Amino acid sequence: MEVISNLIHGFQLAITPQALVACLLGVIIGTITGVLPGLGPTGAMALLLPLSFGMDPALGIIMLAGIYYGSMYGGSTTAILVNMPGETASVVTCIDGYQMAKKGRGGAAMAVAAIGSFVAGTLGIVGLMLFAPKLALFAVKFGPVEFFALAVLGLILLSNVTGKSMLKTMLMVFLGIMLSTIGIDPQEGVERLTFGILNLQQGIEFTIVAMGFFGISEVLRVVGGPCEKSSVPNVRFRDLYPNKEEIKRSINPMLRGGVIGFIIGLLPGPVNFISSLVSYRMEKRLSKHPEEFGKGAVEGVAGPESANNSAAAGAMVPLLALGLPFTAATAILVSGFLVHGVAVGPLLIRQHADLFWTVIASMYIGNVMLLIFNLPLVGVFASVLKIPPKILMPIIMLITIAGAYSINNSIFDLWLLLIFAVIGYFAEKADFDGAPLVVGLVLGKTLETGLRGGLVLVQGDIWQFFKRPISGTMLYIAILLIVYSVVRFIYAKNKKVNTNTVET
Amino acid sequence: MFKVSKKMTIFIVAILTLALIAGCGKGEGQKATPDAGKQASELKFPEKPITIIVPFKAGGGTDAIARKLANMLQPKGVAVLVINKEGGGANIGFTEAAKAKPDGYTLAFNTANMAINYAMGLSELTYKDFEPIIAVNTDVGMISVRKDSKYKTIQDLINDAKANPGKLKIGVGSAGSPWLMGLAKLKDKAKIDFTIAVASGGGAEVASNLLGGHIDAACHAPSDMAGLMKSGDLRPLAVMGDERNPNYPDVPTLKEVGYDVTQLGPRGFIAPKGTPKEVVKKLHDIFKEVIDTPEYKEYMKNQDTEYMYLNTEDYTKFLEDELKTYIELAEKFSLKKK
Repeated sequence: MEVISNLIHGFQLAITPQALVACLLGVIIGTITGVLPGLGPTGAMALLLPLSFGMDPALGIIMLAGIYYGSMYGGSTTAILVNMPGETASVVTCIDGYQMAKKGRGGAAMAVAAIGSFVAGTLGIVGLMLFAPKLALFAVKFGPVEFFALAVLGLILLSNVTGKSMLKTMLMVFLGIMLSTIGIDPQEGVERLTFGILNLQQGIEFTIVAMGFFGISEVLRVVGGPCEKSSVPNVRFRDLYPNKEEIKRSINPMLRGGVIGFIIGLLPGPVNFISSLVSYRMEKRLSKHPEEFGKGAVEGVAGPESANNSAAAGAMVPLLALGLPFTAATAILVSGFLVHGVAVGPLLIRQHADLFWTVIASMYIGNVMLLIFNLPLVGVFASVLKIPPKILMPIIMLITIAGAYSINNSIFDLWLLLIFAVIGYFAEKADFDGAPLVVGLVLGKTLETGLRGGLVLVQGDIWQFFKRPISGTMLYIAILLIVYSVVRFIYAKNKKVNTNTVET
Repeated sequence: MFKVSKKMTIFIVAILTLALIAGCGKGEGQKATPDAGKQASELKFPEKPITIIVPFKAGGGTDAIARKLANMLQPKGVAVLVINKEGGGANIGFTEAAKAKPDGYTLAFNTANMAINYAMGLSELTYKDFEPIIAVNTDVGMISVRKDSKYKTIQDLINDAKANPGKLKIGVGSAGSPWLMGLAKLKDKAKIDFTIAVASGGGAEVASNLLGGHIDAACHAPSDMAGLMKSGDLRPLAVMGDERNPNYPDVPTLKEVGYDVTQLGPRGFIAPKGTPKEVVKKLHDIFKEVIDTPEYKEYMKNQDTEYMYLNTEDYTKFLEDELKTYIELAEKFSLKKK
């Protein structure tokens, strides 16, 4: 088969010492940016981009790509250890990962995340390698109208991830959507809800909200809680790694997460975050013991952490097959190609076959390196929890603030971080959930640009939204889901069952 | 553990938080104080790293050029720090640069956005709040269609827009982009009407919308769709410059087909108002030296963007004309929001 011979050729080029060093450098930097909250792959890649100018084209791309997918590995670490999402993709991991850590299974959670990242990352590359050109054409079918439908469906499916009170969840979702309208209007360029504050023109960065709402507010809770020697019981070395039962329960979520993440990764938008949410929702539905979700279910870590990794591979499809970078991080990869006179686009695979296959091969190698590199780190990170909170919490605070600052180099963001931390602290006390807020904030933007951009395209004829095949299907499913949950709600009420647990 | 530890923890957390915020804030709090009294007889500049504020996120075209120049200045002993201050259609970065100390150590990488934001009523800042230094590059707008489009030439497209006012959908990458202004100019000069579809996600999203058949044409920077034009999936119809684009020699300019429309997306360096003349001169010379190299010109060609040099005086004149044009366009097409 041609693919296999190409791949073997790619491997021959990717196992030269220089290529291996470039790959290793990339994945190490990637892991570090993943572990540190706030610091994302985009910043690190932008910093190292000039370095790649002087390198052989393949080496530069191998390194930059390594940072990109490497950062998806480390993100779960702080989420599991201290409820602090290292990347937005890890917000979902907080839900069950942190609960596992509280029970002393933090090491297992981190190991499962690393293995899942490897499995799904590798699956993603296989998909990328085999189907890139065909799948890219699927991605462009999504215009504003389709994105509106996707956002509607997403809000209905994803908002109630933790299954708490329906009313409280909806309140948080709408609050999130309202927050997403702050800043400069994406269609007309008008200032909205900024109250004359210049910094609000940039809108509310959802990474900041997630870090404040989950991470810093957890620090506040620990500070306000009873004094403990350390937050977890002492664990033996053997218990650092997942047991047979945990592995068994994780395998299917990893594979499912890998597939769903890859498909979602093809689309523009915050795909890493959305794919992890979808995976979480799916695992909860399919699980034989959904009641464990939110209390430390290993599937709740395995699925989402796999999904965000294969989403990273999926995002390479429109990039390599069409030259379309839908994220800031992949845009830097385009610069990395262009500087060597390689135009990324449909011709890349034909005209620069060597380059393409070397990068693909290096991604396989990089994923193996990441697994080897991350598994021993589990032990190191798990021992972080042995540090008494009075020392650990200030350190976390420090790293988080530095990371939050690095996102936009903005002091204003730090105030936002603190404000959302305080809101998060009281919201938790009142049993309000943070995840629906983040969902609303992320999907709110897509909802708005999709609706308004879409209405421009259909020239005001809103029925077009229902007539187009992709958007129509999604919208009808959304309507069915609403009808279904309303019917179930009424039925449940009549039966005088506790309505608090009704799901959408 | 000791009993006091809880209080201590609160204390340590509070102190560290405040210290960190205060520490980070130091650079931003500096007020603009004219430094005229400290002029030495001979100019030793630069003596420390120069900060370039890029008002966009890392990874974009503007950011890439700033980083390339920083990289080229390094061996010449000029240390440059590129800082991304994204948001508010570039307003946040520009505002911060305007407030910086006018000593030549903080510059902004200027784009068409400042003048457009002013024209649209989004910002009070204009080039008059800065000392223009040098223009180093420009994107030249292009209008493209899908390969299977019925429009073979730009004239086909204009004729169709004339016959069916408002029906044609032409996409641009953001609400404040120069390409939106370019389309407004085309409406004006060709006396036609069409729908402008703003894809808020930038160049990649417009390209995707065009490829997927959601829009009929797109107005964009060449680099946004370079790969797709080379592969033939997209067909450029017209260039919005004074001359043809050497990378696409077969594509006519709008002027050639009889419409006096040009649209540039120029980039240059500006310093806060009050920066001493000789520092501006020195900065101009520093940048002039690196952009006049084959390496820089090669880079421009590879990134599918164009070399443009304007000295301090010409650049100031250019910014003046640009602002005037945008204000007129914004009024004519009621783009101004306040």
